[in-house]
Amino acid sequence: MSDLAIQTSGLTRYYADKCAVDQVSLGVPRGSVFALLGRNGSGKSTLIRMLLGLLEPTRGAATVLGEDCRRLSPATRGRIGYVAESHPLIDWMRVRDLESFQKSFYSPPQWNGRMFTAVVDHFGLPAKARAGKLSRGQRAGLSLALTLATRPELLVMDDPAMGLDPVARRTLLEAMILVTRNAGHTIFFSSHVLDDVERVADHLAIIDNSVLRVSASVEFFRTRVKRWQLSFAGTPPPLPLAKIPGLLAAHRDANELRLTIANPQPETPQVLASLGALSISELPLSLEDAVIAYLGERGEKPSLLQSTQLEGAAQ
Amino acid sequence: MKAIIWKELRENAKWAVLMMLGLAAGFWACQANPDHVDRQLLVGTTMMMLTTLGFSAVGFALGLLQGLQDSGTGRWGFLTHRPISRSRVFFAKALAGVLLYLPATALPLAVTACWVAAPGHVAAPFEWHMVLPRLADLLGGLMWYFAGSLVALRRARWIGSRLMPAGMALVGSMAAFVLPMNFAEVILIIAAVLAILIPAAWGAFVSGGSYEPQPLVARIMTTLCVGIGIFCTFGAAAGMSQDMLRTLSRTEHFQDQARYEIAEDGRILIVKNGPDGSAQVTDLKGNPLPAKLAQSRPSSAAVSLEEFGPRNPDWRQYYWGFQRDTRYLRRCGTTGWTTWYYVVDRGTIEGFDTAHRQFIGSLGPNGFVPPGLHAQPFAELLYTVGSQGHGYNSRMVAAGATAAYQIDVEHKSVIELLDTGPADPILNGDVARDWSGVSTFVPFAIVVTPKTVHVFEDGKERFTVPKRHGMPDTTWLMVSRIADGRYVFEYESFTWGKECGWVVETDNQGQILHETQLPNLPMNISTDPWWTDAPMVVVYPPGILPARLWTLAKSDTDRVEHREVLAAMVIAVIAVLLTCWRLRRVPTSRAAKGWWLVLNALLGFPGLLLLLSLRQRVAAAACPACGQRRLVTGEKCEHCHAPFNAPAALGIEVFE
Repeated sequence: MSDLAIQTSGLTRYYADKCAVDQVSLGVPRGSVFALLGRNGSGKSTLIRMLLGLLEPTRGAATVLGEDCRRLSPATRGRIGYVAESHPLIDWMRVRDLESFQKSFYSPPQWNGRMFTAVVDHFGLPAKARAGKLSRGQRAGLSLALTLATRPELLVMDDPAMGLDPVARRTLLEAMILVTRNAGHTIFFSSHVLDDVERVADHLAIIDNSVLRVSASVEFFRTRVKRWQLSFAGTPPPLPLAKIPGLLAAHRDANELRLTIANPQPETPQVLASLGALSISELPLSLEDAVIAYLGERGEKPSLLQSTQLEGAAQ
Repeated sequence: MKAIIWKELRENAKWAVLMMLGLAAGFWACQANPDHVDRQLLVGTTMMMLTTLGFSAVGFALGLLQGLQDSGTGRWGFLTHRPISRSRVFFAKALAGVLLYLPATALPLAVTACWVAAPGHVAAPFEWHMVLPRLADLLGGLMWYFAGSLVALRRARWIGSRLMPAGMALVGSMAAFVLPMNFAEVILIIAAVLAILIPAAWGAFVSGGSYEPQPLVARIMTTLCVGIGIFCTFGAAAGMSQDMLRTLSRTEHFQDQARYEIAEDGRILIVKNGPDGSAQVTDLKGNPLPAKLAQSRPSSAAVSLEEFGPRNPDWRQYYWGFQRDTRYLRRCGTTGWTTWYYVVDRGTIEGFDTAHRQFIGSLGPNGFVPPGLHAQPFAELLYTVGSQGHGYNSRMVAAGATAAYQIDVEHKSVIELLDTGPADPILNGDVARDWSGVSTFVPFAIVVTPKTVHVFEDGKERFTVPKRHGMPDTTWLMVSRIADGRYVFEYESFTWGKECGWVVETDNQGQILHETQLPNLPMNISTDPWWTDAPMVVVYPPGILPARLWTLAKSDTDRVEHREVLAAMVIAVIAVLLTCWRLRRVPTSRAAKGWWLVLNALLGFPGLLLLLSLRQRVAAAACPACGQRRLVTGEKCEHCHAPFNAPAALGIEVFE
């Protein structure tokens, strides 16, 4: 048995002439909590739908729990739990109807009724409520309850926290942590909420404009992205971008420059010193800041505060 | 699987009930129509239209609804990401759909049938097997159900080819209406169409609506369904355009028509109607005669000289087809408040009181029998009864293969006119219409066999004359009684572009007085300009040309014109070139490309539309190795076989 729950190789998907996922090759270790990050429209949902066989890849290959994603057998699908984006449910069904519906597809040892009840109670879902009448957070809870009760070996969630309030999000996180108590169970989820990723994920991947830029453990990722602050006597000079390899973002203030750099090399501090700064100091960088540096626009960019001050001065 | 069936039943039951109520309202309106008091609803045209269209609409709507409800990205994933195969999900949905469709359609039909069967509701005969044509419509609705499913599931543009698979159900419904002679044949036709539609709908479901990933059998069936839809749509559009162009072109090419008529005094007239409707009357030599001669007509009876019985293939489907009302009963006479029907399967003529909607008795060879007793059935199928739709009256001639009867429903009497025996079987018969306006008066009747024309007056044979030979089967014989009791037998043969024939005049004892050959009368059939055929180019399949050349090689009158041959060749070449151009951007094997080229050389432009509808164009990107545009679906460049390069690195990549 492979130690990867998901493995893709050059997985590509086009919608007409637009490339939504461009040759993504990644591996999701078994037992990991793997976060897939990217901006809206970067291709996260497309990638997840291809992995589950809901969408045909244009090119490339992927295996999920050792099976080709194009031909997932019913048995393998039974080992994969899927919480789709925006939590689609059958709106006219009541909570208990959905439980019966879902339960009927799984044999008794696999269906964990206690887990369903626990999650439903945790989210405070009345058994008689119709799915269509539930709030967004309640729908997420119900989707999760329906999925977790099937004891999935691999739990795939497409932006499960989208639109949830902080309390619902925290509950969702707790439920995810509950799953990882079982050794060998894997969670693969996409999200925009970096705080949540930092709390639960041990691996992450970043897709930027359909191209995979990062796939690593969170710890490894932290070691490969650094931020420096450069102080100048006056206005910082224009940046020679080509001379600073791996530059992700540069923020300019009155007489300071903050640079976020990926894969810093031993000579990087010397390169920065050549810019004529009075002082150079390495700043602590949170995972959230590091990821945002990837997802934002490359190169130099004034802060929004500075932009508004400049605009005010011009007027 | 049970859970999916239950979910589908719960989800769509409201729609099924709504459709059932709609159908019930339609059936109720049909029976409530006072004009239908003395019509047998179940085999009548109105009910037939209601069930054919209504059941098809219900089937199509249910299939469409069921498909669309789960076609959204989220719902489809929720439904199919389960530890059961997609095929099982599809068949569970389909089973639920059928379980909803059947009661929605069968209940209103069953209630209507029971209402019709109960005495006192409809003044017409009823037999339970009269429900079978409507049951055939009900089963035909299943074709529309799966067509609706396919339309909903197949991924295509609504303004493009999305609705095309409905063409398959349309063709199936038409075939099930026109072709079958019995219920088993209906089932066979419906089963054959379902054998195409179900795999196509199944393929669309398991592949998420895409064409390429479908199993081969599903792709073939989808191709058939869409192809037939394209031919139906564009054929209809081209036909309408052609009719419009022909109508426009004819305003300048009006040609008046000429015909022969017999005057009351026996003179043969040539009557020409001009564009303004005025009649020009001349004798055979072209001398002008007063127009009023053509307005007063002698009593006459007219029959076709071809065999009218079920053995004649030309009439077989039309009168004895399973879906035809004439297959079950024929309204053959009315007198005041009574209506009489010949009931085909019982072999008797049955009368009903239309005021009280009650059965009043039946007529057989042994005469009238009141209710409670059974009339003796006629030994043979009476295939010509009364005037065959030219009007109703109280007296008629009814003819079987060897015996003919004069039936008077007003006096409830049956007179056997003749029994010819199998050597000289009866072709046809008719009662003469009296143009003086006295509808119940029957001056005479005729019965025609291959050798003889029998003339009857007051139920007795007046005389016989030998039937004139050497006339085509399609000839019509019109027998007129003119002044002094003389008879004129006018044989008229219509061939393309002319009218000709013979006129035989006899005295009132059948002695031939003289015979006159009618010269050819040019009918001035206007020919349409060549450009009116232009719309048909859109749907002309060049592959049909060899078959047309072969069949028309034996024909004296029709032939394939040079411009058709030229058009077929040009269409085939253009279709092949456009297919080649399109296939450049379609990822498929060489063999499949070869098949498409052959298919489109045979099908022409509809084949090209089929290709456009089914095989989606895929993106192409410049190959960094050879510079040519390569399809993004292949792992390697189709020109230089170089693999795709990884996306350009920006130096920010972090891979562990």
